[in-house]
Amino acid sequence: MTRDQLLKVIEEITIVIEENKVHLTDLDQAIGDGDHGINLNRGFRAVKEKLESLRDKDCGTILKTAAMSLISTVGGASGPLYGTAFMKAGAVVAGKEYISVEDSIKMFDEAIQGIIARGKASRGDKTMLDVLVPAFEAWKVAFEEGESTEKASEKMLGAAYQGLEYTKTIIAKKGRANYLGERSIGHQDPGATSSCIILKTIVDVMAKGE
Amino acid sequence: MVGIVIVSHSNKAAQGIKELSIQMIQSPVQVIDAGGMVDGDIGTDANRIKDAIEKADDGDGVVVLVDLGSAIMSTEMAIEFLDREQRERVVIADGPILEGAIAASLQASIGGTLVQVKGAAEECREVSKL
Amino acid sequence: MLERTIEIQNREGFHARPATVLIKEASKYGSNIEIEHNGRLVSCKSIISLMTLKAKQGDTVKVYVYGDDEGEAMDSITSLFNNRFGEE
Repeated sequence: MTRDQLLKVIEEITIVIEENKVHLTDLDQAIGDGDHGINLNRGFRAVKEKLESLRDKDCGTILKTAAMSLISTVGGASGPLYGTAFMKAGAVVAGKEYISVEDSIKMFDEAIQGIIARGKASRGDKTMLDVLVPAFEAWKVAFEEGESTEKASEKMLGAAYQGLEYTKTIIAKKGRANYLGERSIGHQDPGATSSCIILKTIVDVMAKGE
Repeated sequence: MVGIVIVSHSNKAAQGIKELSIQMIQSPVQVIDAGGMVDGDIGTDANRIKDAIEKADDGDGVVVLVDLGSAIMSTEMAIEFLDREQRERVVIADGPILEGAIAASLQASIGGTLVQVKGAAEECREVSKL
Repeated sequence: MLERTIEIQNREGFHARPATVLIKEASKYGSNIEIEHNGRLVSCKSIISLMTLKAKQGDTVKVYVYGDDEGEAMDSITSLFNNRFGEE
């Protein structure tokens, strides 16, 4: 992925999050405090405003700037969580204007480790990790098996959506939904949903670029 | 003097707790509020919290009081943004935000150490109100 | 060690504000200072315990002071109680 594609990805994420703002908020209404979509939308809109000034910057700076912006505008738990993810990913590509496959694997891994350290959750707690961890594993394994980027993307998204479906079946062990206990079963996790949306957007933008 | 930072999802709550602390203690204390978002909305902002910590720290360290959930994540993130030396002297108190702030402020005002100030805030967990 | 029984004269009793004044005064002395009320013994080092002592006007408390400057400390603390901690 080139620097310009990265900027495009972020721009698209902003648009897609806005389109899904109500859906994400509704999910959060059911098992959270009803502000996930609103918060993320506010956060990414603020990031979008910074994009113009980032046109000639390296990928690391772009992601770090996005992270800082999210931290100061999202407000809820997604701020520190997505903020950490973007920051850790950005550190991998500091000074680079091109993201290689190897870079992407490292970025994904660092982002997940960052989220785990920040939120102290694990896979199975019904959080964004239930999408991100399987998605990462599928992405990594696909390349280890010599697949093309296209095929890897397909497998990654497949795993992501499977993870998302899985969150419906389990009890929430983190965040506001945790207080609902068994009543959280049957509801899709909002954070897992937004993660899925973001991954899909990345794949879509890359597909158009090829 | 150990500084105190109040981190709440609500700007008004943090300011109110700060006001109450200052009013009750009646002698100079370093209490900085870091509640809500820059535009006044509900939420927590690690950058804002980092600024508040830097303001509250005169070298003796800072005890941070938090309300719930993501206030802790944002504060932990803010502490990571500090330089290594300063990071060592900033702690989050595991006590109720309002009573803890008052007890911590009072302890700080009478020359308490970082450990004592944190302890004063955390002691508030044990006491019943009625 | 010195001990003295003192009456609470404040209209609103020994609430958070007098506790704050007492703690600040007590910190000036090296002596250990404790207050007993209704069978509950509280150290002046425990801010929140002192703030929630719940002694009413007319109640008596027993003050225990132990240390090198106990004389001064006891006198000073007694004055605080007798002056209603600066309240009406």
